[in-house]
Formats: sequence, C-alpha cells, structure tokens
Amino acid sequence: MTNILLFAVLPYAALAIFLVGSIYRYKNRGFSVSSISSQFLEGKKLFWGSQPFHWGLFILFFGHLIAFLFPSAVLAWNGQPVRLLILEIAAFAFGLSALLGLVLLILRRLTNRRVQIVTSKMDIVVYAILLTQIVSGLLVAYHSRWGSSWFSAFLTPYLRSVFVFDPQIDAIASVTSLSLKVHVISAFALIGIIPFTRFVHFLVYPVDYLWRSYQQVIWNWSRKHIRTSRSHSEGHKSKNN
Amino acid sequence: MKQVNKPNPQYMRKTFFFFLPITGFFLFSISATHAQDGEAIFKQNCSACHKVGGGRLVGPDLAGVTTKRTEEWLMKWTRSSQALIKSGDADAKAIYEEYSSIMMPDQTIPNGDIKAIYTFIAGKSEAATVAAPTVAETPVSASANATPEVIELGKNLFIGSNALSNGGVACIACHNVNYTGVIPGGLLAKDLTTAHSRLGGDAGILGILGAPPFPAMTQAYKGKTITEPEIAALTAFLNKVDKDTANQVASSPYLLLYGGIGGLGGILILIYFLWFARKKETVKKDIYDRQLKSI
Repeated sequence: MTNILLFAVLPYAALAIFLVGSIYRYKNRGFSVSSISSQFLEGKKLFWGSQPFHWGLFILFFGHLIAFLFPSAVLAWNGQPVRLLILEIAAFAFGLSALLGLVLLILRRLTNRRVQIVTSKMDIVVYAILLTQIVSGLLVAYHSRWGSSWFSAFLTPYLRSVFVFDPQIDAIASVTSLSLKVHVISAFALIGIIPFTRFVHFLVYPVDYLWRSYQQVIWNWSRKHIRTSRSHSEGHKSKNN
Repeated sequence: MKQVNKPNPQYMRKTFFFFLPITGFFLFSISATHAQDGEAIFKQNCSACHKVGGGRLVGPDLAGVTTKRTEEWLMKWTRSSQALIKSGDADAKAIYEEYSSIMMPDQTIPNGDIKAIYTFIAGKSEAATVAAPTVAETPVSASANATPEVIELGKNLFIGSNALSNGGVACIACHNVNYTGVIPGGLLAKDLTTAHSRLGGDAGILGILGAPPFPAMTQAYKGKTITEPEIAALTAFLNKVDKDTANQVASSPYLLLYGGIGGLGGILILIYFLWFARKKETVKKDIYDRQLKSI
C-alpha cells in the first residue's frame, strides 16, 4: 500500500502540482518567477558555492534525462568496462561537485547577515530537499554502483510506465537499497514543490543568451567633460565610489 | 411543481439488473481463465527455482506440498516468506535455512493466480508420486566441462563487451564477481562469486536466467530474454568463477571514490580558470562596508 502511494500516486500528484502550479505562478505572479538572486548582497562565497553546485546539477540532470530517453544508447556506451568506468567516475565527480557547492551555499546562507535577511522558510525547504537528493544520489552511486547501467535497465521502464499511465511498481518496490528509494521519492517531492520555491527559475533560464548577438554598451558622454564640468545638469562624478 | 431531475427508480432498477449479469459474467470469465492457467503461471513465476517432482533446484521440490501444508500457511509463505519467518514460524525458518538462506521473492500476483498454482501443483504431485524419482543430491554441472572459449564468451557477456543478443543489460550492471581482469561489478543485487554452488549448480542458474523471478530482474529482461547458448556460457563462467575464488584478485572497489575526488578537483580547477577574470567583489562593496561601519 505504501509502495503504491509512494511510487504510483506521488509521481502523478507531483507532476500535476508542478504543471498547474508553474503555469499559475507564471500567469499570475510572473515577476516572482526568478532565482531571487542574492549576488548583489554577497558574491564571493556565492561563486564557489553556485558554480560547482550548478555545473554538478546541470550535468547530472541531463545524465538522468538521457538515461530516461535513450536507455539503449547508455547501455551501448557502457558495453566496454572502460567506458562504464569513465561515465560513472565523471558522474560521481559531478555529484561531489554539486554536494560541495550546496554545502558552501548552505553555510553562506546561515552565516552571512545580508543573505539571512532575504532568506525565507521555503529556502530552507529547498536546501533540505536538495541535500537529501544529492546525498542519497551519491550513496546510491557508491553503494549500489553502476547505476548508469541499471537505471537504463529497470528504472527507465518504471518511469516510462508512469508517463504512459500504467505504473509498474513491482521492480522499484522490490529494491532493497533504502537510499535508492529515498532518491526516487525525494525527486518526485522536488518536482512537486517547484512552483512554490525559487526552483522555478530553471524554467525561465535565459537560454537565448547562448546564441543571441552580443551587445556593447556605450556611454554617450565624455567622462573627462563630466569630471571638470561645473554645470549641475551634467552631473558630477560621485566622490564616494 | 414538477421535479425535472428526480431519478426514476424503476429505470435505475432496470439498468442495475441489466448490468449485473454482464459485469458478473466478465468477472467470472476473468477468474475462469486464470483458473485454467495454473501451469502457465507456475512456469512464468515459479519454475526458475522450483520443480514439481524431479528434485530440488534453488528452492524445494514442491511435489506434495499442498497436502503437507495448509493453504493458509502456503499463502502466507508465497506472499512474503520473510514476513512469515519474522512472525516466528519455526517451519518457515527451518526451510529458509535449509535452502542456504536464499530469500524467496514476495509474490504480488492475484490470489486467484496463486490458488491456480496450488491446484496445478496438487494435480502434478499425484502424477509425480507414482513415478517417485530418487534425485541425486549432488548438483549436476555440465558446465564444468565447458571449453575455455565458452567461459571467455561467458565472461564477455557478463561484463558487457559482448552484448546480449536480445538487448538485455549486461550482468555487471547489478552483480559483482571477484575474477582477475574483471572490473568491480554492480552492487544493486547479490554478489555472484559463489552463486554457482549457492544456487545448487547449473540448474539454479539456468532456471533464474531462463525466467528471472526477482522483480527488478524480470523488468530488466522483459522482452529481452537471454538465449540458451548465452545462458550456457554465463553458467560456465559463473562455475569457473566459483571454482577459482581462492586464486582471484578482485580489483579495487575504491576506484569510484578516488576517481570521483580526482574529478572534483579537475572541475574546481576548470571553474577557477574559466572564470578567472570575474569581478571578485560585489558591485557595491564599498558602499556596504561604509554603511556597516556607520551603524
């Protein structure tokens, strides 16, 4: 019964909340769809937290997506043990990278006065669920290793069965690894809370920045002229910055 | 005043009596088809580990089991042998230990199917007791005579460098064996280094590979059955691994950890250099610092 709730009901609840909630938020609270960046308040620690965290998460997200969409390609790649090792070690490194980044981000949020002011309760939920997700993922990768192969073999069929509205939960329910179950459940929980948190920012990531032409900003006045001008309307260069 | 939406009791009764027999017929036909399929259901779910007459495989020979045990006990065992053992049932514990403490997977098929299996076993047992074959306890292992080429093929199938012809995932995804030259295997499922002797020789492995009884394995090989020559090669390889356990050097299991930490270092160095020219202080640092001082 618990298994049905966790592996057949929770996924649909989470996906429905994600879809409806995200559309509602975008339509009605459009300006809140943002990462609510605190980079203006603190940038130095943010860099070493945010960069390893986002690169780790980015690569792992697409890794999971590829194993879900093209399982046979992943299995073909893993056919040679050396390639399997390369894939697994690289994925594990990005997992560690995400963990390191997240720990630094949590420490920053807990210790920096400026960042504390803009921290909401939902941010704590976000950190808790991300920490669960990344730690359980690393435990799975280490203690139930070669996940890239068995994900394609039996988790992809499970996830596909969810998406075609015919959930087959026997395989996932029979797994003895607690960290794997936690990983799957917290993944669905994460999807479910996207609309209520700063997670929404991944939906509005400005991907077109990657291919749009660059823009050069040119100030149309002479700095020297302004420095020496006595005219108030032309302004004076601030002396305190 | 006329009530427009009032249900018509007579109509409802009529519809009810119209639907009742149809629904009843479908339910009956579903249970009837199931009842006939005892043998097929047995083959699909049980035959990997059990025979009815003819000796033990991974699990006991089930001939006569329906007269030896009550149906209630059998049902509890079939649903979850581990739950029955935990409830303190001495017989269940004895059987579990007699068969090398290999856990029987919990069955989630409908009660009707399980009962159909019992009926099939009961029917087959009567025929089997007439023949009453005496079964040799020592496992038969034809794979012991396998040629080195077959063992090599088995090894390649195990690690995946020879793909299984129907597209099934290589064994190493979930299973480990200690064998020189083979990378550490997966840890999701059981270590197979001593599987050959643990599962009672060739028969157990042939049974499991022919019709995988464990749900995750069933899912992985659904529609991707392992062919007979492949099963034979894998069995020969596992036999070889089991026999040579003492001489094998297992490769380091810490590869993933060390590799991962090394990779993390690489990622950090890359980030450091790619963003070397970043603005290292916040835009308004001076203003903030001055304001903090003035508080």
